[in-house]
Order: sequence, then structure tokens, then C-alpha cells
Amino acid sequence: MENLRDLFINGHGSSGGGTFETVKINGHGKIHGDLKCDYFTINGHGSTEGNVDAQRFQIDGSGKIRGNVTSKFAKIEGHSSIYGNVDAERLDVDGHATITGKVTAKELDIDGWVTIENNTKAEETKIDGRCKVKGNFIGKEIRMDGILTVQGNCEVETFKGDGKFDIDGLLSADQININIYWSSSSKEIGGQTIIVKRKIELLNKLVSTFKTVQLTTDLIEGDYVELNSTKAKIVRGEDVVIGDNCDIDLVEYRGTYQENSNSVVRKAVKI
Amino acid sequence: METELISKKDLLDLKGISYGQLYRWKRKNLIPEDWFIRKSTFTGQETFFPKEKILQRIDKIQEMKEDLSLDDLAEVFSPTVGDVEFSTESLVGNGIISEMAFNFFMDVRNFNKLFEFEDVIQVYLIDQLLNSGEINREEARMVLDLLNGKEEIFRTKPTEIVIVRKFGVSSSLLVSNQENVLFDNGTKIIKKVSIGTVAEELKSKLMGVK
Repeated sequence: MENLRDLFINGHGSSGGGTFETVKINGHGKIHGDLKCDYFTINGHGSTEGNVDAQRFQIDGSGKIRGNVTSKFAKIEGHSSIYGNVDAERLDVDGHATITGKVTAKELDIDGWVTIENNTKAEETKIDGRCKVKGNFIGKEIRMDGILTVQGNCEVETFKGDGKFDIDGLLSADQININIYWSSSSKEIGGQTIIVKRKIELLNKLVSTFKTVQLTTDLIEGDYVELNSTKAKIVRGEDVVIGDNCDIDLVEYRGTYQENSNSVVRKAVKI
Repeated sequence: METELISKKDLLDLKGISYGQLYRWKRKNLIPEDWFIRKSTFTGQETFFPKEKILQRIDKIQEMKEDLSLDDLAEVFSPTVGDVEFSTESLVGNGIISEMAFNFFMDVRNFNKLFEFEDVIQVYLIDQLLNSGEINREEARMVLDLLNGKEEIFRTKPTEIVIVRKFGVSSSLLVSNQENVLFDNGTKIIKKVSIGTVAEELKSKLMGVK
């Protein structure tokens, strides 16, 4: 390895970019140009006008990146706006982040609040905070314990967990296994196994919001569909089980059908 | 001409496939987004497909999914030309392209080796066209001239080649993005071929060889 210099900006400094070992911005630093380094961190109010390629990328203060970020491990603890794409093996958002470009990651871990204004592709996603994607969300697995909003389609292999989601397009997955916590929605839902349960907590019972918390959708299609607290226009499946607190206009099933008496199903037909 | 449509329900019954499979294939881009046609029916929204295309595609998926992963299949069906590994010897040796077509291509282009998958497609294409007797060597040369340097176009966009004759004179066109092309009455369309379809055929053969 060649011996690279470090770049530290502590006051109101600025730099023209370049290749470094460590880049640390503690004050109001500004970097004009592309950066390539092993470790990039902003503690103060840093900003860059250029791309950042850093093995480790971390923002603890408030950072503005006007360019693309490429990193092995990117972590946002503070406030950050990235005006470009993020391509990371792992992206952790514990603070607040707005990303205007596309996000590509193997692992995406959201404990804070992130808004991605473009398409997102992440193999493994864990959402404990809030994640808003203004494009399509494509991946392998999404584990939810927070809030997910997708303005396009959400297509994964496994979609599971507790929480709340609102998807303007299609939610498609082999395995959908969700416990809805707050009212959720998706225009359409399709896949192999679709199980919707209602998470009941003491607090909910006391506040008596139980009935009103529902998953709302136009269409559900799956091989095995088991629904609770769901309001749907059409449900189509091989085997369909309608549990508690559902309101469904039409069920079409090819195999078996079960219905709980405290749900409303206007019409159920075997096809 | 109206394309005949088939409803999702009828498709599942006819092909014995499940919702899970259909959604999975859609996610993997084995079935293009624009084949999903939404229509209002008396039971609400229903999805329809262009019947001939979807039946063919599902036959192919069912036939090939034993040997290939879904990701490999997605590569085969991708409308654009992707990266597939090949060697000249295996192409000719396995009868994917004929030696005659290969020599013809080398002669026209002044090459001594096939470099890119785009080259292989062109050899394969003229091999098919010459073999079917639909075009002659002069026209094949013309098609190769037409395609020369246009690799970027047919790699990235759905592209068709149209070969026409009028009053004994042939000419050829490269049409991308599937716009309608209309000709006057005296013009006879000899052949219309989609490079995507050819690439799909070739890719499935190449993957079969592996």
C-alpha cells in the first residue's frame, strides 16, 4: 500500500478533494471535488461538492454530499442529505437521511428515518425506524418493525414483521407474513403465501382502536391466503382463510375456504 | 389487428400454474410488465395477457426451469442483449451456427474471430435467414452492413430488422422501439425479425450447450 495522507478540517476550511487515508471534517468544512479514502467522517457541518468513495463512510453531525457515495460500510448517525446515488455493501441509518438518487445495498438497516427519492435495491432490509421510498423497492427480504412507505412497487422474496406499511403499487413476495400494528395499505398484494395477522396489545384494547386498524387493499392474490383485520375488494387464492375483523367484497377460491363469523364477506365463490 | 387476450384466471387453469409462480416470474422479469393488461370487468379489475405470447413464454419457462435458475432464465428473456460466454469452436461445433455463415460473416466484416455476443447474434441471424432461403447472399451482406456499428442500438433497445423488396430491388431497415412501419403497395416485406427474439433463441441454445 502506498502511504496516503490524512485530511482534517477543523475550522472553516476547504479542500479540493483527492485521495486520502482518512478524511475528517469537524467544523464547517467544504470539499470541492471527488474524494477517495479509507475512512470519511463528518462531525460538524461538512459538505462536499463531488463524489465520495470511502471504505467506511460515517456522518455524525450534519452533512451534505452533492455527489454519489460508494462505500463498503456507510453509517448515518446525524443529519444527512445526499444529492446522488448511494452504493454500499451495508447502509445503516440511525439518524435522519435524505437520498435523492438510487440506493443499492446488500444490507440496509434503518433505525432512524430515511427518505429515498428514487428506486431502492437492497438484498436484506431491516426497518425499525421509518423508511420512505419514492420509487420501487426491490430486494430479497424485508423485516419490518417500523414504518415503510413505498410509492412504487415493493417486490421481494420475503416480507415479514410487525409495523405499518403503505405501498402505492404492488406488494409482491413469495412469503408475506405480517402483523399489522397500525393501519396499512397496498394497492395490490400478490405472492405464494400471504398471512396477515393483527397484533393486539393491551394499549390498543384500552384505546379501542382495535376495529379500525386494518390493512386496506384492492386485490390480494396468493396460493395460501390467511387474512385478519383486512379490508379488500377482491381476494383470490387456492386456499383462503378469512379470520377476524375483515371486510371483503369478493372471495374467489379454487381449493378450500374458511370464514370466521365476525368478518364480513359479501360473496365467496369457488371457481 | 386485435391481439387475442387471455385472463389471468384462464391462464392459471390452462397451464396449471399458481399465483405464487406467476408473481415470482413477474418479479424476476420473466414476464414483461407491459404484458399485464388491466381491464375492468363485471367482477372488478382483472388482468389479461396477450394470449399467444404468454402461452409461448410459459411453455418455455416450464421447459427450461428444470435446467436453469430463474436468474439465468431472466437473462435469456431479457429483451436486450446481455453477456453470455461463448467460443467460436463451440458455436460451430455444436451446430448453433453453420460454418458457411461463419465464414461469410468473417469475410464481410474482415474479422478473424468473433469478439462479442453481438457478433454471434448477427452470424446466427443471417444463418437463419440464408438457410430459410428467404434472402440471398447479397441481401445478407446488406443486412450485415446495416447492423455494422449499430450494436449499441440493438443491445439497449428492442429492435427489429425489416427486409423489403420493391421492383426487384431490396433494402433493409432497422426499427427500434417497435413503432409501426408502413410501406406503399408495391413494396413487399420479405422478412421482419426481432433481434430480441433471435437473441432469446440464441441465448437459450448457448445456455443449453454449457
